[in-house]
Amino acid sequence: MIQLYHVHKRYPNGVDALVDINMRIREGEFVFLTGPSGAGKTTLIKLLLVMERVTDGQILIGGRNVHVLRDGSIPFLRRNIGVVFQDFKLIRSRTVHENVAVALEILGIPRREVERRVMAILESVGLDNRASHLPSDISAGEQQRVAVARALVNEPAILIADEPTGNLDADLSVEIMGLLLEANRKGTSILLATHDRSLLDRYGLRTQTLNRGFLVEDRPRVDTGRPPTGPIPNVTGSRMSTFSSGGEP
Amino acid sequence: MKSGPLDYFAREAARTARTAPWLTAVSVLTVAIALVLVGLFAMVFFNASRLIGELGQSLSVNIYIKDAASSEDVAVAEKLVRQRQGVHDVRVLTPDMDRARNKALLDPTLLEGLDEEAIPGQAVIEAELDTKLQGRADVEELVSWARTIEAVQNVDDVSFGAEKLRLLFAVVEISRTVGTVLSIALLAGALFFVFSTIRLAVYARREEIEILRIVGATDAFIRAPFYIGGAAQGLLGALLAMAFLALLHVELRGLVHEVYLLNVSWSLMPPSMILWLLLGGPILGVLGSAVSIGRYLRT
Repeated sequence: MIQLYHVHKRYPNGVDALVDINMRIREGEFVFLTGPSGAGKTTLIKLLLVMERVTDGQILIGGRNVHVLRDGSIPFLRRNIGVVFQDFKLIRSRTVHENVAVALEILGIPRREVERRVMAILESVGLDNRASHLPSDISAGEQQRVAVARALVNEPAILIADEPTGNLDADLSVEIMGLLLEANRKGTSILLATHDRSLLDRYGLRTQTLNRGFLVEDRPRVDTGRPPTGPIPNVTGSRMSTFSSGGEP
Repeated sequence: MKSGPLDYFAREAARTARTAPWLTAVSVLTVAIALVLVGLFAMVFFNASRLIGELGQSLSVNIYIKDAASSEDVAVAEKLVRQRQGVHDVRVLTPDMDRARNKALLDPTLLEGLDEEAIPGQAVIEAELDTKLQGRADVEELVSWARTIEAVQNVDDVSFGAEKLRLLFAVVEISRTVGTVLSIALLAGALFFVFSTIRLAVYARREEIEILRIVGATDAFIRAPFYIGGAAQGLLGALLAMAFLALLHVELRGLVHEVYLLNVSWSLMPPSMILWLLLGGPILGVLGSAVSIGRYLRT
C-alpha cells in the first residue's frame, strides 16, 4: 500500500531530515512510526501527503509514484488518505457536523448522502449528540474523535495519524486507539506516528523507528494477548480508488 | 434538490462575508460608487454623441456663387453637389430669386422708397445632406468635400456650420477621454478594494484553507466560495448603482422634457449600458477575488 525506496529529504537550509529510508506498509496493516523529536516522523508524513517533495528516492502509494505527481493531482491522492493530527486541525468556525462533512463535500457528494454518512460516522465515534457544537465547545478527546471521524468518513484506504494521542490523557488515548483499531479491522491501512512508549508497548504492533533521519529499527508485530488488532483476514483487492488529475471540484 | 458543491459554495461565500461584515459593506459601496460615476460618464458621453448624431443627421449646405459666375460654373458646382451620396432637395437660386426671398423676409415698411438693387441677392445652390456624423473625421471629410466645391471657378463660399460641428465633436472627444481615464481609475480603485477585502477574508481563513487542502480539496473547490463572494459583492454594488442611476434617469427625463422642453426621442440610459453596468459589478468582484485567492494559493 505504501512503499518507500531510498527516500531522502533535505530541506533548503541543508538539514537532512530523512536519509535513505526504505519502508513497506502492506494493505490492511497497522504500523507505528516512532522515534525521538526531530527523528523525521513528521517529515515522513509530510512526504506521504505530498506536503513536501522528496529530494531523492521514490514513494509509491497504492502503486502510484507520488514523486512524479503533478500539483493538480495531489488533492485526488489525499482523498484516499485520512489524516489525524496531534492538534486536531478542526475548523474552529464550523460545527462538528460541518467539520466531518467537508471531507465528503469536496468530493461533490449530494447533501442528503453527506448527511447520512456524517451522522453514521459521528454515531460510531459517539458524537452524534455533539453534531451542532463548535470544536471549542467540546473536550480535547471529543475533538480528536471528530478528527478521526473526518479522516474516516470517506472510507480512505490509508489513514495517517501524527501523534493523535499527544494532547490526550491515557484514557482518551485508549479511546482514540480503539477507533483507529476498529478502522484497521475494517481494512484501512494505518501509519501512526508517536513517541509514546506506553502506546507501543500496550499494542505491540509493527513498529518502525526513526532516529536523526535514519530508519534504525523495523520491529515486527508481537502478540500481546489483547484483542485482535490486525486487518480482517478476508480483505481482498485494493481499497485505493483511482485518482484522476482533474475534472472534479 | 440543490447539488452538494453549489450549496456548499453558497454557504461558504456567506460565511466569508460574515467574517468581516463592515469591510464587505464598504466594498459593496465602493463598487456601487465607482459604477455610479462610470455610469454617469457613460450617460453624458452616450447622450452627447447621440445629440450630435441627431444634429448632424441632416445638414443644410449652401454654396454661394460669385456675381461673375457663368451658368457653366454654376452647373459644374451643382453637378459636384448632386454627385455626393445623401444629397437631396438641391435648389439653384439666381441672384434675383435670392433677392426676392430676402425681400420677403423684410418688413414692408423698411422697403418703402428703397432701391430694389440695395437688397442683397447672390446666386446660391442650396442642398440638404443626410449624414451619419460619428466623429471629427466625418466632419473633416465633409470639409474636404466642401473645399472641392470651393475650388470650382467663381464659387464664393460653401457653408454647412463646420466650425460648430468641430467644436461639438471636440467637446465630446475631450469628455470621452477624460471620462475613460477617470473610469479606469475608479474601476481600478474599486478592484483594489474588493481585492483587499477578499485578501483579508482569505487571511482570516488561512487555517481553514490549509485543512481543506489536507483533506483533498482542489484549488478550484477552495477558490469557488471566494469567487461567489466577490461576484455577490460586485452584483450588490451594481444593483445599488443601477438603483441610483435609475432614479437619476427619471429626474433627468423630467428635466429634459418639462423644464427644457426638449423632445428627446431616445432613452437617456440605453439597455446595453444597463447590462454592462450590471455585468461590471460581478466582473470586478470575481477579478478581485481571483487575484487575491490566486496569490494566496500560489504561496
